[in-house]
Formats: sequence, structure tokens, C-alpha cells
Amino acid sequence: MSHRDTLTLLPGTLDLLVLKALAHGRKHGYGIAEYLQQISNEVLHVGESSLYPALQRLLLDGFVQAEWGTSENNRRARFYTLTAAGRRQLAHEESAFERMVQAIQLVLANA
Amino acid sequence: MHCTRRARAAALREELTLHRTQLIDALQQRGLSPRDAACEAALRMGDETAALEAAHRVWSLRSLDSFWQDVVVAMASLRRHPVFTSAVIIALAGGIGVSTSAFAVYNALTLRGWNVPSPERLVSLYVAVPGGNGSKRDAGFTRQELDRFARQSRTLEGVFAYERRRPDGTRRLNPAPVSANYFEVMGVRMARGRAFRAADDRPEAPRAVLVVSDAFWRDQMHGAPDAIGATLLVRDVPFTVIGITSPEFLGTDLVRLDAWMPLAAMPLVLPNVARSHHMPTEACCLHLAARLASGVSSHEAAAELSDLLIAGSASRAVQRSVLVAPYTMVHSSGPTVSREVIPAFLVLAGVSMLVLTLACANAASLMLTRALARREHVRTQRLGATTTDLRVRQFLLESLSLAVLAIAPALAIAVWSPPWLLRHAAGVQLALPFSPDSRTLLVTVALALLSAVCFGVAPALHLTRGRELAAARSRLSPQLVGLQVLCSLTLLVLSALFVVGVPDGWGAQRLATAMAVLVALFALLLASTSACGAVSYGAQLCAADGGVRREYGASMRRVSRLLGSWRRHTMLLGLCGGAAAAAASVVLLRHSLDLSAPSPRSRETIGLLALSALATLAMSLPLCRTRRVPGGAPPVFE
Repeated sequence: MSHRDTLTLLPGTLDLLVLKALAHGRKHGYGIAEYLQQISNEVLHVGESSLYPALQRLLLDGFVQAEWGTSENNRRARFYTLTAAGRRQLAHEESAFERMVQAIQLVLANA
Repeated sequence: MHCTRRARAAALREELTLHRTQLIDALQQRGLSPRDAACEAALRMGDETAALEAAHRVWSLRSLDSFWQDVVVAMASLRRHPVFTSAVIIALAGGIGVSTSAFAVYNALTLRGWNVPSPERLVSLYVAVPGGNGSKRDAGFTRQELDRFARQSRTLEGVFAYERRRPDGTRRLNPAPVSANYFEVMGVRMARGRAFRAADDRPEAPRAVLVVSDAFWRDQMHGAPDAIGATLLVRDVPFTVIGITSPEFLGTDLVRLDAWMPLAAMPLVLPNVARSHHMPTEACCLHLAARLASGVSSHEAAAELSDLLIAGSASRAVQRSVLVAPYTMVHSSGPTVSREVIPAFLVLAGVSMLVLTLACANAASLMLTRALARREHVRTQRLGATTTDLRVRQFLLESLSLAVLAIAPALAIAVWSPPWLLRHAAGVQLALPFSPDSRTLLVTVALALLSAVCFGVAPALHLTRGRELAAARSRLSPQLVGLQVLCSLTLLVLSALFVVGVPDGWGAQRLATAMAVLVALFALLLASTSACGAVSYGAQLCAADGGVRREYGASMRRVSRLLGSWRRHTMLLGLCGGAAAAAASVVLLRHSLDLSAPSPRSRETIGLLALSALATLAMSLPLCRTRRVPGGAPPVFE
């Protein structure tokens, strides 16, 4: 595929989206991907080669916790939950993103 | 929590499997058949290794600064693709090894000294005769001049005469005539017995005595404990063995020497040659070499010896002066050889550079193939570190790591292949020092870095211009294939010319044939790795990109589909094919170099070369079929 066909997001946005997806309760990897796809009206397809490294990063930073459990169709799955630090990080990233979007909108509206 | 990285990777793999299963379930619920659902899931998820690699990057980087992070990532990623890594290393080691071998031979011939204590102080002496067009070298001293140098010189620690010995192609004992102080000045120890004394080398009372080499004593005299005092026949004249040299001394000639005799003993075996040594003519032919006193430069020695020469040759019509040059193999064989050696080595250097270019093209091709397989990985990284710099950096670091890994095998090739080739193909045992020295090491490292730049920079440059990897691959591929085919064919044609053009005698033809077949073998091996790289590229495309299926020809599509699930093993298969071809070539090499035959069979060798040329062409063809990857895939999260 060519360079222009793919959507590019601001750096760090994926972490924000994953944290947000986990804000409403624990989910496994596939669940997060499905959730983001549905909520975004099928615009955001999160490849597993982006999602799982992001989850590993959040785990190492202590923003999420992981535990093995059983999925809705009785398969062994690893569920991720937001930690207290993760909630703080989510709030921080959300406000930073808001400011960024507002700034970009200001530029677009006036240019 | 996970203690080890292996446990983490296992957990991640389990998660990925679950992800895939749930995706297939979801697709089946939307009405796809199980088979189509599996295929669609494979297309959407792409290469599992990309996710694993990205996760490895996350795990390994927390405690390192960014350069070492990149090095760790590069090494880890190479370790996880052993087949790709070994394919590139084989190609590079071959290319660098051949070039370094050429340099090692040149180094041994002209730059290195002999295997004796402080060889840098050994010099050979020539007489320069002013000629019509500049001064000209002319090796020729009389016995009287030798004696005068030995008595009066202050700049020389010792000076000796030696006679060049041409191998006569027989196994007959053929001792090299040297003056009595030869071993003393060279600094050679005797393992048994004694070296020559002045009394052994008096022209008026020649003694038939011999010093033999350690190898001769072991092989021909079976290491007999009573070898000292034994009698050996030299051209039917009985000589007495008085000494055996230490094992590390192999003589001061291109070919390993078996034995030495005093110069004065020459008339006993070669009455005609020896007579001229005592006549004060221009045509006399004693070759002199000397050890400089410590702290004396060769200029000072040359000035002093020229004065001594002029002082003693008042009767001579021409003014002569002495030239002092390092005593190396080329100079010990005479000035004409050094004049012939340089152009010959320029040709050899050109050929080996061609081989290196071929290897680099091959490595670049494999790198691009692999980079394409990791598109997902590369995109992931852009989330964290924003620019294409990261890709370029990783490309360069990986190619650098590969080149560094290729240094050791390349050095091994450079150290072992020239003596092996010369011994088995040309049938001569050389006295040249081929053990690695600092110069060889330097050249190997320099060539490795050069090749890393060559095969890493071209793809990296394409990336900096913002092109997609696939586009870079499709743009570069035809050029790389063209380069490979061109280099291979040039090498093969050169090899054929070499086999036809080299005059017979002294094993030269046999050596040329062996070199030609080895070059052909290498070309074949490289072509097969390129071909398997191309096929696995096709397989990658099929697995990663649905759109490509439309672009591919029917046969290629079928092959790719077949290999889709096998894509990691395809390269291994190609390597095995290349190795089988190489083994077949070795069998043919032995056959065409039948040692009992009087000369190698040129016709068969050229047939073999032609076959290799065809095989090279055929194996390079799949690369030409790779096309641009079309757009139109669903948007991917970035």
C-alpha cells in the first residue's frame, strides 16, 4: 500500500486510546481492538503488531495490570486492568490531547 | 509476573493465538466459510513475528541509551532470523574473504618479511646501472664485492649471497646455494646439528655439506634420529647432512625449500653455472641480502655501499650504485618479478572487487526482502520515534552488525584458502607467511565496513525519500538483479579466458582452473540465495497483502500461495539448493583436476563454467518478476 493511504496519528495516541478503552473495565487484547473499531465507526483498525507492544509498554510503566482469566467463550485469555497510576496518566493524556486538538482546530479555522 | 523474556514471549504468543482465533470466530459469524475466515484473518493480522519483535524492543530497551538500544534490537532481530542472517553472512564472508585473500597473497609477496627475528631489518641489495632511460635495476655482484661489503661495511650487521632456485617440477633434492653466514644473518636457529661455517664455503676447497629443512627431515628422512651425518645424493654427488633448521623457517623463496648447500659447493653439482661467479664481468649474478645494523636506515646503507662499490671498481667503465630494498618474496625472486606482480595484482584486485560487488548486491536484495516482511514493525516504531530516521538507522545498524559478523569467517577464508588452493591445485608448497597480521586485519575490517555501507545505504536512501519499502524494493530489484547477473557473467567469462589463456607448466593451468571453478561455485551459491530471497519475497507479499495476488502471474501466484505458510523455510530450502550445487561443483572440481592427468581438462571446465552461467541466469530470473505492490488496502491504524 502506498504511503498516503494510511492514516497517521500523533505519536503516543495509541497509548491514550488503549488506556481509555480500559477505563470502563477489564478487557483482553482482542476485546480492546474490537472496542476501538466499533466505537470509531470502523475507522480505527488496530493491528496486533501495534497493540500488543503498546500493552507491553503500559505494563512496564505500571499503567495497566494483567491477569489470566477465562474469556466469554471459555478460552484462556490475559485481561488488562487500569491501575491508579494508569487513571492519572489517562487524565493527563486526555487533557494534553484536548489542548493539542484545540490548537490544531484554531489553526485550521483561521488559516 | 514474568521473570524471563522467554516466558514473556510465550505469553505474548498465546495472546496472539487467542486474538487470531477470536477474529476467525467473528468472521465466521459474518458468514465466511472456515477456510476463507482463516485466510482473511491471516491477511489482516500479517506477520506475527513483527508484533513479537516490537514487543522485544519494548522489553529490552528500558535500561539502555538509544545507541545501544538500537544495537541490541539489531542483534536480537538478527538472532531471531537465523536463516536470513546466515545467508547474508555467507554471501558477505565469501565476498570479503576473496578480496582479503587477494590482498593476503599480495601482502605476503611484497609487504611482509620472512618468518625470522626482526625481518624489517633484512634488505636485498641491487646494483643500479645508469641506462639510456633512467636507472635500471640489475642484480649482480661479484664474490669479491661480497667480501668487501662483509669486511668494510659499518651499516650492515651481516651480508650474505644466495642463489635463486627454480622448481624443476621433480621431487629430486634441489638444494639452494647460500653463503656460509646465511642462517646466522637471517637469524635462523638449528633444531639439530650446526649451520654452515666459513670453512664450508671456501671456493678453493668446496665441501659437499647440506642443511635440510625440518619438513624435509620429517617427510623424506622419516624423522630419523641419526640424520646428522647421513649422506644424500644431489645430482648423483654425495652430500653430508650437517644440520636441520627449526620448524618455523620455510626458506626465502616462493616455494618451500628442502635443503641448502654452500655457494662454494655449486661447482660440484653445476660446474657451468658456478664458473661465472668468479669472473669480474657485468653479467655476474650473485644475489646479495643483508641485515642492517640497528638504527641504520636503508638510505645510509645504500650511500655507504655505493661508495664501497665505486672505490673497488676503478677499472670499470660504468658508474654503478647500490640500491637497497626490503628483503621480501618479490625482491628475493628478482626485480622482473616485482614488475610483473603489481599489474597481475591489479587484475586480481579488480576481479575480487567484482566478487565483493556481487555479494553486496545479494545482501542488499535480501535486506530489502526482509525489510518488506517487517513493514508492520517499522510502522509501530513510528508511533514512538517519529521519523524515517529510525528506519534508516536500524537498516544501517543491521547491515553494520552483519558485516562485523562476517569478518571472522572472511579472515578464515583469507588465511586458509590461498595456501590450500596452491597446495592442492597447483601442487606447490609455499614458504609465504599467510598467517593474519595487522595489515590483513585492517583490510578485512575496511572491506567489511565498505560493504556494509554499500548494501545498507542504497535501501536506506530510498527510505529517507519517503518511499514505501515495497516501492523501494521494486525500484531497486531490477537494478540489483542486473548488477548481479552482470557481475556473475563477467566473472564466468573471465574465468573461462583464464583457463584458456594461462600457459601450461608449474601447475599454473591447474591453479587457474581451480580458481575458475571456485568463482563459478560462488556465483552459483549467490544466485541461489538471491532466488530463494525472491521466492520468499513473493510468499511474503501473498501472505501480507491481498492486493498483490491480482498483480502476480498465475504460476507465481500458485507458487507463492504454496509457500505462504512456509515462508520462513523458503530461504532455508534455497540455501540447501545452493549448498547442493556447491557440493556438486566440488566433485566436478576434483574430477577436472585429476591429479594423475598431465594437465587439467580445459574443455570440461569451460563446459562447467557455461553450465554455471546458465544456472546463474535461471536462478536470477525470479527476481525480475517481482512487481510493485499496489495500494488500496484497508486503512491501518498507525
